[in-house]
Amino acid sequence: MKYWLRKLDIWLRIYYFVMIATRERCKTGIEELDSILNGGIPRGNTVLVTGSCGTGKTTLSLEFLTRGALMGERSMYISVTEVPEKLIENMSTYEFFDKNLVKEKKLIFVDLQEIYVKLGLEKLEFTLEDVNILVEQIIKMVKELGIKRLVIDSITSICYRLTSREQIREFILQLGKALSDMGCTTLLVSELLPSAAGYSQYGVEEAIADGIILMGNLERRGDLLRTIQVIKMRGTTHSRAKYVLDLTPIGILLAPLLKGGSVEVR
Amino acid sequence: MKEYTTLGIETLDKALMNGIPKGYTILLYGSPGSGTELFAKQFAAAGVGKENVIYFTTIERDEDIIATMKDFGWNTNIKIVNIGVEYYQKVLEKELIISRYREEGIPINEIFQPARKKEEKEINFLTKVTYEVSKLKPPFRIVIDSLDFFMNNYDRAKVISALRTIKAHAQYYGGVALITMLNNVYDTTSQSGIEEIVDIILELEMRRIENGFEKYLIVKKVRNHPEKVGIFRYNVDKNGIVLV
Repeated sequence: MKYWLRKLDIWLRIYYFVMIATRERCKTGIEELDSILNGGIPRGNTVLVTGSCGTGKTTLSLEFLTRGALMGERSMYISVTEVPEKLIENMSTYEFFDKNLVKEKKLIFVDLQEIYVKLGLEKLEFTLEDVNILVEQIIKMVKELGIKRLVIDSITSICYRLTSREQIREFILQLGKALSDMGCTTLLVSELLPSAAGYSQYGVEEAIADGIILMGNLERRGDLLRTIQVIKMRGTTHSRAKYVLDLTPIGILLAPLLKGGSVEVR
Repeated sequence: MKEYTTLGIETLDKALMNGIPKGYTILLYGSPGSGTELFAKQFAAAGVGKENVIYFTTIERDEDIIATMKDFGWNTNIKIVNIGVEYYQKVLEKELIISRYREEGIPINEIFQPARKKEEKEINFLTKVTYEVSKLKPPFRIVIDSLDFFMNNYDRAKVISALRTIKAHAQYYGGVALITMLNNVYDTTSQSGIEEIVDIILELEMRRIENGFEKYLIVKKVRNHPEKVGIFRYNVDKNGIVLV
């Protein structure tokens, strides 16, 4: 009996290993991040990119999309709080960014406020029907435009209009499932208040997401460093170490964190 | 000394005070089909030439109003303000598109079209009416057909307050105003609030008889002249509404 159990255990381990090793990856295009994730984000995952302001969430997301578009994967950025023109302007400072990607619709920017107006969602609180309509609309866009990479910046400002944790849960689950079925890898940008406990504003998002990438600030000898840490990622093994994140003209660079004399600030 | 003007129905003028005093506001109740709209047009036409006539409609198209008036041989030199059409263009049409989008999703080619501009703010049609009235040069004649649109779309207290403004304006400048409305569909507070403001209340009523309808015009209230109230039978002939 024991023998059989051990054999089963070994087989399960092999199966698990093969599953993980063979699951198709979505390369973020940020080299060090891909190596932390053993090749990239498992395709179809919905990942929460979370952190307080100024930690580089939007830049990371935009680099993820741009790198994808350059690799021929159609990418879409749904902006809730910022006007696309401004984002594109900000991205122009990076060498890898090519405005033609936007022109050729390989990298698509959608202003959610415009969508709200068209769907009659200019209100402070959404009903369940409104939530469904919004989810359907996002799914429709991803499906019909053949989107492979999606960023919603930020999920927090959408959740702000949902009236209960159940609604937030329903919203992210429904969206995540449909996107995963379509093989679309998604980053949900989540704003974290410096005082917040956990990894997300409402506490629900983090439990449902397939992965969590935590971005933060770290003070060291009078310098404020940006840090990044993969807390969880379903479907792959990964390092959970904290890295220092550098925004350079050639894009995001990660370096292992030297801990001496550091004080964490959120 | 009071000046008088005509209602457009000679026989009714006689039954009242050989016309109605200038400055008066009239409320006309009517059930569907009883001819309130025709009454409104007849009243409007009676002012043409002597008064500036403004006709607010919430239901009909401009051309239908003009066509009806021409059918009866009335002068059509009136200013029509079409709240109904504007309401459709500014509000209902938008709602139609929104409900289509909500049902089917926004078509991909329209995702990138800008949504309607923000400056297209919601129009307050009640304010629009009072604004248009405030611009009128005396002598004037106002027709609002019908108040029901405003009662259904705005806060009742605000409608009553707007009506009070219109009445005061007419009173001050010696104009006349006719307001049409359905009877017995609103709460009593609102209805009595309106009845209290107006100077004359008329009602058109139809009764089913063996082989047709009998039409009655009821004079329900005449300010300071309780002896004038009464019931009259009326008919519609080629000249419009006449009392018999």
